[in-house]
Amino acid sequence: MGMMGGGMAGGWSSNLGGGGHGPRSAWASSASMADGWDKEYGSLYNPQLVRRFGRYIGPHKRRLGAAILANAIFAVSFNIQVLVVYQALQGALDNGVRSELDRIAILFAALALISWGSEFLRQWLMANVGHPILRKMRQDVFDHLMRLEHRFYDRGEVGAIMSRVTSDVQVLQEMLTSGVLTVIGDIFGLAIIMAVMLFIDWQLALVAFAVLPILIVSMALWSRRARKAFLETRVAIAAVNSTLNEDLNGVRVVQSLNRESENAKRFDRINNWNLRATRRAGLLSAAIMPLVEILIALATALIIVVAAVRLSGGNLDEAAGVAAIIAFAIGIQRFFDPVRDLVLQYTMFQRAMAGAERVFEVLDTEPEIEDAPQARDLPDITGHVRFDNVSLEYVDGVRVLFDLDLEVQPGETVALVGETGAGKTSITSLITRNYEVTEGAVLIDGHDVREVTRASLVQRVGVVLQDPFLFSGTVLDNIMYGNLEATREQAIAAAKVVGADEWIERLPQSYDTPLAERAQNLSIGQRQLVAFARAILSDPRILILDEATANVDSQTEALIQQAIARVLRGRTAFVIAHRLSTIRAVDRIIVLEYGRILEQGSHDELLAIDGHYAKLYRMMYAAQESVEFDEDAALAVLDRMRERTGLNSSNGKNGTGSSTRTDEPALALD
Amino acid sequence: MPASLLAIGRVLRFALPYWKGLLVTSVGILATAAFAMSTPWLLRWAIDTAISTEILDGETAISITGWLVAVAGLALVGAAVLRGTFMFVQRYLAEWVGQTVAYDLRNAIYQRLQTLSFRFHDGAETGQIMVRATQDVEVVRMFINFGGVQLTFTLVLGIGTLVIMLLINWQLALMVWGLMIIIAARSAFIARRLRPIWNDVQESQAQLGTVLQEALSGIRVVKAFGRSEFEGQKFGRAAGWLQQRSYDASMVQAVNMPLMTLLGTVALVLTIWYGGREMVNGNITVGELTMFVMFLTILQMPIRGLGWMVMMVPRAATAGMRIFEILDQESEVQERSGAVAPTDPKGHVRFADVSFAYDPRSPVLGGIDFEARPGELIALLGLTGSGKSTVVNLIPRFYDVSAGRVTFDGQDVRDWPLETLRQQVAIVQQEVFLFAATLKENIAYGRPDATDEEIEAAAKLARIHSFINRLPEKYDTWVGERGANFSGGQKQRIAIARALLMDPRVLIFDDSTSSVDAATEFEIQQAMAALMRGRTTFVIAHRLRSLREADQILVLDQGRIVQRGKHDDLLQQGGLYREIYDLELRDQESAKSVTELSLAGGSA
Ligand SMILES: Nc1ncnc2c1ncn2[C@@H]1O[C@H](COP(=O)(O)OP(=O)(O)OP(=O)(O)O)[C@@H](O)[C@H]1O
Ligand SMILES: Nc1ncnc2c1ncn2[C@@H]1O[C@H](COP(=O)(O)OP(=O)(O)OP(=O)(O)O)[C@@H](O)[C@H]1O
Ligand SMILES: [Mg+2]
Repeated sequence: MGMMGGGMAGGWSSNLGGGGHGPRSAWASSASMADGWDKEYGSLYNPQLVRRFGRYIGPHKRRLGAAILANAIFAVSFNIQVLVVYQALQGALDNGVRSELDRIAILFAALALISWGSEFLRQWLMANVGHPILRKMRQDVFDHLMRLEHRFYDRGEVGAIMSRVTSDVQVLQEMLTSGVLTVIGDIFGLAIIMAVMLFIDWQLALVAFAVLPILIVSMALWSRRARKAFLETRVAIAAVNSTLNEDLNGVRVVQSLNRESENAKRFDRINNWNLRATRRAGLLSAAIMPLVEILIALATALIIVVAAVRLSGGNLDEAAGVAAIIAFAIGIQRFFDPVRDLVLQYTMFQRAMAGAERVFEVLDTEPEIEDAPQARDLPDITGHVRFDNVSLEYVDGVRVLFDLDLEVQPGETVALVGETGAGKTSITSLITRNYEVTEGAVLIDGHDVREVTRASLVQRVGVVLQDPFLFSGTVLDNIMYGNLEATREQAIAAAKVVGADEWIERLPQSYDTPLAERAQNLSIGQRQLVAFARAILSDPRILILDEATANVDSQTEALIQQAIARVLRGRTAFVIAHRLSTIRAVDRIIVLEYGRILEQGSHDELLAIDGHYAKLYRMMYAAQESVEFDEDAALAVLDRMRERTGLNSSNGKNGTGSSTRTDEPALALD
Repeated sequence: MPASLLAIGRVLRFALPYWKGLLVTSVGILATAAFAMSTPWLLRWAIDTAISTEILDGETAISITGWLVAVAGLALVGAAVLRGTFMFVQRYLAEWVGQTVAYDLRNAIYQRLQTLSFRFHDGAETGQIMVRATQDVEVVRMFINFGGVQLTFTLVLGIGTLVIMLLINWQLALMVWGLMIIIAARSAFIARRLRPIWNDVQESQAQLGTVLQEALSGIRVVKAFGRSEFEGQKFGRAAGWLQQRSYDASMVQAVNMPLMTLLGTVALVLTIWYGGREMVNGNITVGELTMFVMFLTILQMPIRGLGWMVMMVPRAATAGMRIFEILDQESEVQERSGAVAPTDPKGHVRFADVSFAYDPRSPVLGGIDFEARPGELIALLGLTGSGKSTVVNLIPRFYDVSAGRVTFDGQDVRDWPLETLRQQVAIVQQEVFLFAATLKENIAYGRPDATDEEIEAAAKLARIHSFINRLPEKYDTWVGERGANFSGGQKQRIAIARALLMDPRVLIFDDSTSSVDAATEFEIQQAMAALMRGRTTFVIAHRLRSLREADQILVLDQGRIVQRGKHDDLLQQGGLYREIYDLELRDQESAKSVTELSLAGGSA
């Protein structure tokens, strides 16, 4: 079994390349996570975890039982062969009877067939248990991830989370199925072969076993070092992968900022760390087989010597002695293989435990935001929204919204304006309960959002997010994401409302044009429009437009405003925009600053009171307004940087004091 | 098949630089195999000579020579120690070479990806690429590490034992080897059958990765539309297909592996049965029979693994092909050899009758012709999708024009060294991407050697400094993936600071204040006004206010410049610009009145 058990028995399960050791490459689990959420574990055995596996194994109990049985049959039929060999040879040597040989050869062949059948059964059963378990686990982790809220994703890196769904689950499942079975099989096999050897000649058997402590002690020492080395390789490869992943996503920035060579150096450093770690681990794993081989030879030599001594002393029958030597030559191999395998499995178990903790850590991350036990579906609503003394903190102690009171009537359109970071997006994300309020309550038609199911809540609220994320698939697929039951005509109608129909029709396959990842093949404005159409198609009572047209030209925007007036009738809408033309027509404008409402009212009212809004508004068009900030100092610093780095030096040389000359960069002014 | 052979050849070429390691490995393999064969031989010697077992008339007789037994025992252990040493060296070196090749491959892939043009990345799927850079590289590593080594070992051992066995008893040897050849043939057959399955498995793994990545990156949209279940089903389908194909592979293995064991055991049965007769008949000695049995035991493992090893060849071929698909991608944007940068860059940009298409079927730009003199402010205006971003992306040569030319300081950008060109041109892209790193590292991304003072200066100009200073950890604040923990406007301003720190001759703002409020935008513009002096600046914006001061405004419509000139000229001309202006005019008028109002109020 040996090598097969360690690395290959689960040939089917080793999709990632079934090495019994070495780094298991897969998705990144970043080593650089700031909050240590993704740390590595090395603890050995955790009964609580083991119990949880029960849930997955439960449904397959009978098959698993059958597999264990098959395992036992295999162990017996495979190892008893040694005894048969012994008897055949002994018979032959003793009285040279050939018929004895025939009989025993038939018996041997029968045993071979039995072990063949049982091994097949075992593998077949395991495939039928292992794959469904793997799939179920993956699905569970994925479904759970879909339940986790925004706060979780603000922290974690996609690459690191992905590794848990892919590689960690895989390692875990391997241990659960082939690993456990291999261990059971090894233990069976070991027991049987020991019994057989003892039965053949207990003294020689004991001589062979005498080598065992050496093996166990040295492997125990080995595995302690190996564990650390293997863990390091895992962390290292994870770092390699997450670096690759991120720089791939940001490649456009990398190229535009000329970071390629610097990044290549950085990547090489991490890659090199991985190389060194794997080489160290390689040194350790290369040592195992030779060690076992030497010990096997030692045992064989001891057996021959002891047998010779006993033979010459007349304590051993000649035929039995010689037959025993031959039988033991086979037996020792079958004795050492499972021992070595068990030690290897021990390391794998440690790795699997680490994987298990990481998988279950995801499964155990309870969504902070979950439907209350007695949560009801939100009934049909009119669209009344009330913020009752709401405060919000993303990071403990850093308040983003302060005691916010706001009431929006059904059908009303309100605009949120304010400086960047004032908390506009934060307010709207509380309506769909993306984050939990720190204090106060958000009520929709009098229902606290915490007391209704989230599914029914988001169904009534349509959102166009600031970052218009689109999925791969066609343009139509993406619009339909808002309402899976919609017809093609309805989707096209939604596109028309946002004025996207015209250019979509111009695309090579119009609505059926496939979009690249993140819709790279659309302009940003176009992406926003598709996201807008998607929200409209979902036919919500409450519509949130978070800078939905920030990257859209004024003309298209004006068209949308006309068309959408119809759509908005009877719906409550929250509009966030920085272009004041976008919002001047709304019912009410709410001006925010640092998470507080400064003033509110209609456009005209706000201008009349000549407060913050009026100032903002002027700013938009006024030619000059003094700014109490001295950029000359900042510019001077950048200027000195140029001199320091020697870049563009030719430009800076003759620029002193020539503020009137427009062909000289401002940086060189003083 | 030739394609896959080619791929294997190329994979091996990656190992070629380490030929010394491979050579020592090969020597190690030969020595290991030789010493592996010596053990059964020593055992035979021990039984035949030291213990001197003989069968006379069906009676076993022995005469033991004590010191010979001792020698045999020592020789056995000695040979094992030597074999172990060689095996250790050989395994370690194989691992060493395998890992080093993987390291080289990863570096090569990384560098290739970093230098491939935007066009490649537009169409590429991150999930797919990641699978290639991780799992496929791993397959290649395993092939070089185990596949090669073990396969050679098995071959050497096989041929060696075959020869020895033939010399001793050719009938028995042929009988045994008939079975061994069946095993080997079956291995090859299985490998052929598994190949397409493994391809599918690899492919479906990549697909699963893609679905997963998309669902996680777009999680906010998924939640906003309550589509968790929908995504779950998508994932389930991908996982289901993966499961199906992995299961198929398992089934082939489940049939095959036990069969291999069976054939191996049958060989043993034959040896005992036929060899036992021959022994009784006195045709072979007890020691020789023992040696046969031992050979079989030794051969068991490698021969059984043969299927697995043989399978690694096609797997590595597939993986290799998928990796080389990336490595063979030629960047559309290639630096001309011997390209030199003109000294004293000024920032003079010219588009001469430029056409461009992302997809040859639908041209995006046509007849773009304009000139931006050093120090000028050029504004681009136009409907969504009219090609504004496309125009500015041609300046740092992120794409190559289809016709016409873009020149920088009078020299075609295709004749510039890429790095120098891009150093001169800093672009604040429309879609902000921040890295998971500290704020400081993000701002200094293009200039890792910038001092804190310089970073702060850039941040001040981008009007983000005071915000950063209010954060508990200031410039050391961690930026979540893609800047998840910052507001839209904050992200844009960080991106602006990042570009400013580059200190380029040409600055491009692609709608980079769209999420910034009017007041802050105004402040940034003021700061920029000083900064822009002497730099050529391109601005894309939808708020006309930003465009008023421009030296030249280009109005684009469906990839063509339909109007150009200064603000006042364009107003006279009417057309698209006028329409947009009128849309905003109302606001302007009322703003003016407000200004007057407040001024009047102030003086009163
Ligand atoms: N997920 C988050 N984790 C931590 N802090 C956050 C998070 N999201 C926003 N913030 C912080 O909360 C504040 C308010 O952010 P918000 O996104 O609500 O601003 P905004 O008014 O929408 O700004 P913008 O106009 O730039 O989009 C900002 O200072 C921002 O840095
Ligand atoms: N990477 C790409 N691959 C294929 N087509 C693209 C790609 N990028 C843009 N396009 C298409 O080219 C046209 C011009 O796009 P571009 O991004 O230049 O528009 P834009 O004027 O910047 O629009 P916006 O104001 O919305 O940003 C659009 O029709 C768009 O769909
Ligand atoms: Mg654009």
